[in-house]
Amino acid sequence: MLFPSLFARLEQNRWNLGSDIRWQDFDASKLTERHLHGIKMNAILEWSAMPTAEMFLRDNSQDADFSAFTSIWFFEEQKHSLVLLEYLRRFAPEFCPTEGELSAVRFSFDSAPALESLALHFCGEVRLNQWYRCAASYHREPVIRQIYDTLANDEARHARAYLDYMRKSLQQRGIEAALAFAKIGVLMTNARVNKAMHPTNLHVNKALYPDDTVNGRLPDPRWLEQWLSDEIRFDRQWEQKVEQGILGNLSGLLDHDFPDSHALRSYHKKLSRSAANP
Amino acid sequence: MYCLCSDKSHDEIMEEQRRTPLSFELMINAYTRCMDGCGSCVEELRERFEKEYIASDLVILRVGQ
Repeated sequence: MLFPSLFARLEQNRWNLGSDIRWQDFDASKLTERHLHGIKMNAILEWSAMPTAEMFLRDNSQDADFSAFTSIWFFEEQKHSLVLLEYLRRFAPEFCPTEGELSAVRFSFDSAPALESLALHFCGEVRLNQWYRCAASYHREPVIRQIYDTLANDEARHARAYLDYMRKSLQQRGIEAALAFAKIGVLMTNARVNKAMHPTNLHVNKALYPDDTVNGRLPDPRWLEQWLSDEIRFDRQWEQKVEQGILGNLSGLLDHDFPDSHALRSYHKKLSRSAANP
Repeated sequence: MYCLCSDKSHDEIMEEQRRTPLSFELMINAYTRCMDGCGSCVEELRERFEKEYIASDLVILRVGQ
């Protein structure tokens, strides 16, 4: 069981919302209304950990270990939302989302294959780690820079925890798990598929289509694309860091060298063929 | 294994250490961003360091040298 050691690892790195954030360093002169709008949108996006946690618990009801970990992950993601809400409450209360805006991103997700879902969220955490690192380097206001750096580190720890569960699944389910992880890795490192490849952009409830992505339920559904392209400028260089993070870790996990997405795609094809013709 | 905070694989980090050996703490400071990052890789890098190096405050020796 991974839960006890993961609990200890995450507990050791836990930060305090009241005392570890240097709220006193706030500098209003380095902030624009557009920045505040982005902070509001990110606070709402982080709130969407709630339906994701509900999905994890439902789809992994047979896996007590992973379900226990979900409790920590959910706590930390809600804390991410809370620290951004607290920033707005202190410095720009007019930008605080309403409860209605927060509730809009809580809706039921369809069941998803557990292994693919696990890999998808590993990739999502790697991407979020880089988005927040990029956001921290873009902002000039010291408190929000510190907050984004802090969130980036949490997301990297979450990615590592998901990777630990992927390793455990690989030991238990072998080729079935390798196929699922490689498939999602290919999809999540192909920038031509979608520029903002993150779970919050995926359609997750057929009955609600097309109103079934978390991003689509934000008060400003076009915000994420604009934030990435025109504001924090998440360019090719940053995108490469995401790819390297995903491919580098999948290389270690699957014991195969994946210098680029093509190599992972070839691996997935070969593995699919050998699984079909054992 | 790949360190997300350093944007480097553990192999790349250990390769830099081989080129210019440092004590463990200096290695982490010089070749990684773990101290400003999430810290998840520190224990795994320590295990690799301890397998490959015998270190005191004064001398760093690669095992087998």
